[in-house]
Amino acid sequence: MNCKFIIIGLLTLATANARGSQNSAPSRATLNTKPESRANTFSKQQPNQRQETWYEFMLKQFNPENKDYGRWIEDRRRVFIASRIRNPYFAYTVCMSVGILVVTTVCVKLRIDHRRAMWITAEMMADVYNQDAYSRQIAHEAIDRYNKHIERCNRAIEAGESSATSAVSNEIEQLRAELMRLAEERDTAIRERDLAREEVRRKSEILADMSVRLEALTLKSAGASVPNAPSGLRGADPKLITHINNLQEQLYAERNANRRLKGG
Amino acid sequence: MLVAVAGFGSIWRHKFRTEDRCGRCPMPVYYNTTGVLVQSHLRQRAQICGYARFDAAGGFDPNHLSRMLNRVFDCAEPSVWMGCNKVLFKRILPANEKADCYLVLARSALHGNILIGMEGWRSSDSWLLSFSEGSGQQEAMLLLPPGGWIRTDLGRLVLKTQEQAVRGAPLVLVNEDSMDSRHALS
Repeated sequence: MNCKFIIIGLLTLATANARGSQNSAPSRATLNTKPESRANTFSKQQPNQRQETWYEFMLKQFNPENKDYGRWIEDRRRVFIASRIRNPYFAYTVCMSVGILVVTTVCVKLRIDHRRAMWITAEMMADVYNQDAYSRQIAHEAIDRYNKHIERCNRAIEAGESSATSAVSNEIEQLRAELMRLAEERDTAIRERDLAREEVRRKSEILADMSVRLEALTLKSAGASVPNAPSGLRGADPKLITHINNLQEQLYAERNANRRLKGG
Repeated sequence: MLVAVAGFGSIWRHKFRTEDRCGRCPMPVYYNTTGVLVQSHLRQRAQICGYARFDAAGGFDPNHLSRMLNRVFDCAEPSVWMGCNKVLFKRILPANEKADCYLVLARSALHGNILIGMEGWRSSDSWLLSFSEGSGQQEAMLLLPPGGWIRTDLGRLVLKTQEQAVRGAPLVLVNEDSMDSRHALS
């Protein structure tokens, strides 16, 4: 009994649901169609009520067909990407072009560097060649002089051998006298040299004394006139520069003399 | 003062200055002085310190020194700065300029030992810029006028300018004591 009641109840509910759904569908349809029908009726009722603004009018002048250019560009872009950029041949070609460009640049750079290096090398080689040619010329001149000298010596020896031996004793006497005369001249020269050395020493002492005085005077005058003068002598008198140059040389000579005296 | 370059010293130094306040990068400066070879290394061993300063802004090209030889420079007067002799080569002049004096290098290997300090070892109108000595070698950098001379143990060497300068050896020092021997300055 219970089962029968349950089945009857379920069937009743099912039929009731079916009816409800059939009733509700048209009502939704009517709801959906209502605004459109309203708009249609509104537009039919007021066809010239909404006037175009001035900028809409201007835009229509430029785009009378009301074409959506944004969409058109987007479509073209998609087509381009699909056909070109996503195409593996396109990537390959771009890579190859970039590679060829890089290789060409490297080749040009290497060629320029090579040419520059070759120029510098050529200049150095020219210098070396000139020096070599000059050295050879000097060597040839020296060899010529030596050969002439040896030739003269040979002739003298030949002449000496052929001459009579009686003249030898006279020649020895003459040479001895010449030797004596040269020895006297040498002694005189040595004496003069010693005197000159002494004089040079005295002069150098006087010069050193004068340079000390000059330096003191310079310092005094510099201190009196320009207190913040620079340590260098940029605008100095050329005579003073020459004097400094001479003093530098004398200082070098004195150092050398001291070194010799110390046995260095 | 117009100075022609007959030779360069063995030692070069340079100074690349940093940007100034305006952001400009000044041209580099090159210093040339004398030096001697000590155990296969160039050392200054300056007995008399001095240097010639060349400004790249004045047209000096350190990469082509052979082109700078025999060229005449506009120079400042020789001066003494921080204890060193100094000559500033300001700018390079056209090729037909006549020089007042010449920057000359004398080396003991080529010209004999230089008798520096002895009386009358050089002409009075010359100027010794720098002198290096060591390991039995000498190198001196001088400013000599045409006809100026120095004295070495080989004799008196006179600076003579040639009419048609040969590249690399534009000047000839003639040893007057022994008339035949000649020494070239490079």
